[in-house]
Amino acid sequence: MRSIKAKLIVLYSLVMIAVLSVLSIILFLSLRNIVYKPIDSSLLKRAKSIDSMIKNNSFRFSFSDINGNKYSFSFSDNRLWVYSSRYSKYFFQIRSLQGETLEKSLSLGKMSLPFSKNFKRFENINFKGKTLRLLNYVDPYDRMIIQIAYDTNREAKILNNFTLLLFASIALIMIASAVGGFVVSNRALKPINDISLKINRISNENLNESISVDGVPYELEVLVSSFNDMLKRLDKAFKQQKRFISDISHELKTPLSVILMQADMALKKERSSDEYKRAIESIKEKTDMMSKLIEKMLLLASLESKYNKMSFSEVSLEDLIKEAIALFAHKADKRGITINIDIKDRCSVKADRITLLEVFSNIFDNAVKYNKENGRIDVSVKKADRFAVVEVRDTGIGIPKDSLSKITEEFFRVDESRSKKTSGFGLGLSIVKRIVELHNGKLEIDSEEGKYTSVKIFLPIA
Amino acid sequence: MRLLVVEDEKTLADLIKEGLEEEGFSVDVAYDGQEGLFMAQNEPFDLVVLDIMLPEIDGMEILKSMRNNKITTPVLMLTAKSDVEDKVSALNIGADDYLTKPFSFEELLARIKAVLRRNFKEASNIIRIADLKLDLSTREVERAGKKIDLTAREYALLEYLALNKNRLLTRTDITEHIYNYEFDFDSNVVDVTVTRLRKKIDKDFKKKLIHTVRGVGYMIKEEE
Ligand SMILES: Nc1ncnc2c1ncn2[C@@H]1O[C@H](COP(=O)(O)OP(=O)(O)OP(=O)(O)O)[C@@H](O)[C@H]1O
Ligand SMILES: [Mg+2]
Repeated sequence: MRSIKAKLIVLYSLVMIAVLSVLSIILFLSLRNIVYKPIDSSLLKRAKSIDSMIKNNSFRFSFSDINGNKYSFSFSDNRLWVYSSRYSKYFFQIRSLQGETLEKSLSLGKMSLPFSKNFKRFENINFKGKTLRLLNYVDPYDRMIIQIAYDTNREAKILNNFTLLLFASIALIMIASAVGGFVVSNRALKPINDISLKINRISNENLNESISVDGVPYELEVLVSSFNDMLKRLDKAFKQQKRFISDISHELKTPLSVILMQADMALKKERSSDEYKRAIESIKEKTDMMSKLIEKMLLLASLESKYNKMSFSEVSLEDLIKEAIALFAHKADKRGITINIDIKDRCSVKADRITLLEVFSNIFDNAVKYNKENGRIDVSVKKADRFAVVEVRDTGIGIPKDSLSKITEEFFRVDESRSKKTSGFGLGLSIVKRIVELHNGKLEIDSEEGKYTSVKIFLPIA
Repeated sequence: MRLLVVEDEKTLADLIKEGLEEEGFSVDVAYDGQEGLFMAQNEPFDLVVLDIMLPEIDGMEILKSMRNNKITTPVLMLTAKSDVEDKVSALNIGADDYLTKPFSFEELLARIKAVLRRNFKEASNIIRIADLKLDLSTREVERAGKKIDLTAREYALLEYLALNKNRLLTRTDITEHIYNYEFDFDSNVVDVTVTRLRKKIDKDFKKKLIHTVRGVGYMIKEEE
């Protein structure tokens, strides 16, 4: 059963039924006791009186017992007249211990009181459609059983009525409690409905809104606040995604509008061949830049689902770094930048060679691009714990403290207007970070503005 | 007509300036928001072309400060985002039109002219003063059915006079709206241009349209 409401109602009703049943059994038993106790004591008194009459030989009829003693009965005895009428409510029958009838009251007529070998002292019996209370009184000295019965029709009726009343009230209470349970559980669940209504009003347009805890019961506050936490996380991811897309759109459309404008201007009217040449050169330059940007964006996007497609092998960091440096030697030379390599420990890592090469190209690209003229780049490789640590340290312009945490975000560049001088898209370090993470490593960047930038890459040793 | 282009992509800004100047506008360029806001607030431009994504202060902020300072210069917004939100909020804070990148030069020019025309409350592209006819879209000028060839500067001057017909324009008004800030204000270029324009427009006709208000400036009007 998955409904809380139904569970609550069933549980509630079961408890009610149990309590009411015990209560009604107790009530019934005590009432029965109240009703039968005076009857039982009067039956006992009557039995004893008959017994004493037999002992005093005041009966007119007589019989002899097994021992040959003679007894006689007399119905004229006015103590016995209550048994003498057919309409009497009292009956008696005297039996030997074996059960054979010695004598019985006139009120019984041709009938007999029931008897069985294993009789109980007090019994309720059905007799000619009547309910009788029967006492089986054993006189051990005279070796006979005196059966006395009383017609309890009136009392049985009272008991019956009482039982009926009991059942009726139990049923009533049950219905009332079921309705009550329904109302109570509805009440208890209402805040949940309220919360879900509020949740329904949240769409991707207003993810930044949170659900207010006003009027939310204490017990549900936890639910609401963890839901709000989730909303916050969703909102952040959503905003990031949205910003990424709008950044992409900006980064692509800006060069595209330059290209379009350049072509428009060239075609606007007759130009000199020099002007055409300049226009075409500028278009080519922008197109080159755009294709690089697209390549970088595609690389970044492909890293999302890259892990399965990477082929890991043991890669010597020394070789890989030298290979990457070779790619930038020319650029560094042009700016008079020297590159020093210091291999403190020879390390190999399990890596996808081509992908990892991308990491170092991006870092060296930055180290050259953001360096000062005639600056230096120091590269070191060493072991620390289970990690190989590669540090690339340059003597460049550095990164301001407040930008350090954002440096790996997509499209983030320290200073938009400054970085117009140095070309770039702000994707390099995002790519580096993803790739390093794909290799179970981590990236640490430290810098002082105007002095140095140090990029450390930790990769687990093969 | 004097325009300000605020655009941080230098190549694009320069190309727009070049193109618009070929069309007879005088154009100033600001490469970031700070400069753009300063210029928009201190120079009498007829229109500002404003990029939204700018370093320092973004285009929305510039537009807001302009409108807060009661500068009613019409603004044409440029953006690389295709967000409808951007468009709506730009128009809400008082942009006159909106253009998404990438756009062609013709598109830009058409929008600029449309905004200017709206701003000068001209219902059509054609201005008539007596038998002088000026087509703002094709930049063709006729007098008494005869086509008149004008240089870009001459046309710009005539257009400015025509858009403000029956209104006296001072030399400063004219220099500020016809030339950009690189122009040397001390020279009497305005007078020279007016003289050349008169030769082409008024010389062969009995009814003179361009009038001199001695020591103050010029105006264009039908009646004597
Ligand atoms: N070695 C460094 N020294 C100083 N600043 C740096 C250095 N490396 C990165 N930065 C700053 O961090 C920003 C982001 O770097 P990132 O490599 O991600 O992008 P980019 O170099 O601008 O463009 P690209 O996508 O072409 O690499 C740079 O714009 C620069 O401001
Ligand atoms: Mg980079």
